[in-house]
Amino acid sequence: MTERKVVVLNKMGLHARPSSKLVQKAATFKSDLHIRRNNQVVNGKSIMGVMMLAAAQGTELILAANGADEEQLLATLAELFDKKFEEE
Amino acid sequence: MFDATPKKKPVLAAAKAPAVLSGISASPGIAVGKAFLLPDDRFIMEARTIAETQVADEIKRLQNAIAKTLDDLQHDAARTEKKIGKDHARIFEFHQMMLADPYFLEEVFTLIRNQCLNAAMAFAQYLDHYADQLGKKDKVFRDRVADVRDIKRRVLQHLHGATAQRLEHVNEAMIIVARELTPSLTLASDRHKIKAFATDFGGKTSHAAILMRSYGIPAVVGLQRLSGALKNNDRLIVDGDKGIVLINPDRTTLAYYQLKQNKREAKIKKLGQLRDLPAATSDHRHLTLAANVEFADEVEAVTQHGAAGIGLLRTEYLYLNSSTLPTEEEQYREYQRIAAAVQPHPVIIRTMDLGADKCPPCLDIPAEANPMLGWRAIRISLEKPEIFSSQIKAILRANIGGNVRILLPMISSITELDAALALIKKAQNELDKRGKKLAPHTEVGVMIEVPAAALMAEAIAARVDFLSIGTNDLVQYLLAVDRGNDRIAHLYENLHPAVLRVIKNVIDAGHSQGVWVGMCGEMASDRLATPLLIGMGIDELSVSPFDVPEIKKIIRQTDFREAKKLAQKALTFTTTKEISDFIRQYMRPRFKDIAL
Repeated sequence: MTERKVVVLNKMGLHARPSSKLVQKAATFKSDLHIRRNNQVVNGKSIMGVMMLAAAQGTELILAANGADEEQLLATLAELFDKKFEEE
Repeated sequence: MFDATPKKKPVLAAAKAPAVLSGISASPGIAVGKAFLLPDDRFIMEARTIAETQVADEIKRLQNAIAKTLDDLQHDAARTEKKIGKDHARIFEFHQMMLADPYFLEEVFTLIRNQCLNAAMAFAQYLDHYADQLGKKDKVFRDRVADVRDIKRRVLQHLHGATAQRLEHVNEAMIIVARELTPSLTLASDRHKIKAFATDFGGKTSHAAILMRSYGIPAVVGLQRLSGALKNNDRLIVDGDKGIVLINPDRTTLAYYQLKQNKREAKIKKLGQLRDLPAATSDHRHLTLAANVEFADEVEAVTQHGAAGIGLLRTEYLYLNSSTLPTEEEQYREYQRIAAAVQPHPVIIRTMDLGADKCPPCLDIPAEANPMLGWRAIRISLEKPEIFSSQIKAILRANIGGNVRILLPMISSITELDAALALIKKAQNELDKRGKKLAPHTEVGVMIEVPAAALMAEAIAARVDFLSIGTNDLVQYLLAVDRGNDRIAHLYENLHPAVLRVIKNVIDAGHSQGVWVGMCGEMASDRLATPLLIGMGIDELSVSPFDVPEIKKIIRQTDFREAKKLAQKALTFTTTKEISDFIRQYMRPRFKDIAL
């Protein structure tokens, strides 16, 4: 398993649209994905789960991937966070 | 002998007044039409235990209902995209994603399997719990609760094989009556078939209400007993301006509203042409015509109606909606979003104006005999500098584009103003130390609403960047009239000679110190006052977004030199009646289509 810390940079936080993008992107990989915010852990391939994080701008999240393509998955997602989900 | 039969009632009583229900105005405008009642979405949900052998069938039933719902969503998304654009269709994409979420579905299936629960109950229970949890989060997430409810409703309808009458089956334009407005209702339905919306529940800030406003479809929400009091095809009048609904009105009432509606439509069409034109007099004196905003969701209406920014952003909603004080970060995000939305125009943010009459759960304000003369607004801010400071820091940080200004309410002395300015300075220094990059200068203004401040306007103006006259309180304090008291409400007069004198003094005081003077109270949208205010030299008017077009029209048709003479003459009168008669006489021939 590989872990990676990311920060939500979007102004509106991880709301419906970025959450959808994240889940859609994650679904293209084989590895499992979990996202942790403090003590809350959700399935990163579940839109309902990701929304429940209610991650506002500035929130730190830990992405944890497990599987054959875990490195690529994390790299792809980290880029998505860095680019603010191409929102702004 | 006595006659036991009651006397016949006079004939007139037969034409009884129509039943009127009042609610909350969610979208302005008037509609007359027949009621179309959407079936109540609250299915009689019964928790049933199913036999273990039925579990597989029950799951299959749910899967079928979800598949059908996904088809519907696909269809609605395509229609919406075609009708109003891709942005609005995105909401259905999100609905589809939720319903296609395998992890969520697995949880529901597990509920069915482990507890032998019927599909409808398991699905509803899970989503209700989810919606409750989401409802506790920040606003962006809270706003999605209606979407969760929406997909629940859709799936349950299929699960019940409900032959619910859908809006698509409506053949003529109707007034839609529902329990509450949901995005699927407002988006998926054909706008031309909807004359208006009237609902039992809901507030003016819901996503659906905003959509209605942007479509220009009248809506009244929060009518509570409405749907229970109606049957299909009952005749209704929806008055979205007043927030009322009239049920089965008589012919006279109907004719009156139809006329009102026709006139309104013609007028709006004409006024719409002014949207992108400047608020300048016929002899080119440019005024700033801005809008007042009470809720963040109204921001869109500001630009839509051609206002040059926000002249008064009330921040109370940030406190009233929350059980904890809004943090600096939360406020910063909110202010920044609003500032970006009205860029390049300014947004003037008034620091909180709470008191015992408007007391949020997050602040402990004891009950008072006289809240309007009590512990409120800046008085609280100065006594609780930590609250004030977090709001000021949020505003300063939001001023990235240089278009954000601070407005201090209820200032009654220079001592208070100096204390507030010192706190602002301190907040600035603290932010600098934190390494926050700030705009070089954030303009600060004072709301002139206490008579003492009006009299000290020159000294106040010398210390700040602008003045904004808050007439609602100023008039009430100056005339000692409580507008809420029916017995004396008629004594509340914007055009009282004393009020005009005070306003003139404030404008002159501001100009003598080289600062601009605006007005953000209701008097700014009093049609009779507009030429007078222009003549007295007002630099800015901030009115409700919906008043912007007509006030702009008056400004554009006014000659500044003529208005100056008008104001001079008006100030020589000693009674309100003389003043209003005089202005009416001036305006009537010039502004024929404006109600005075």
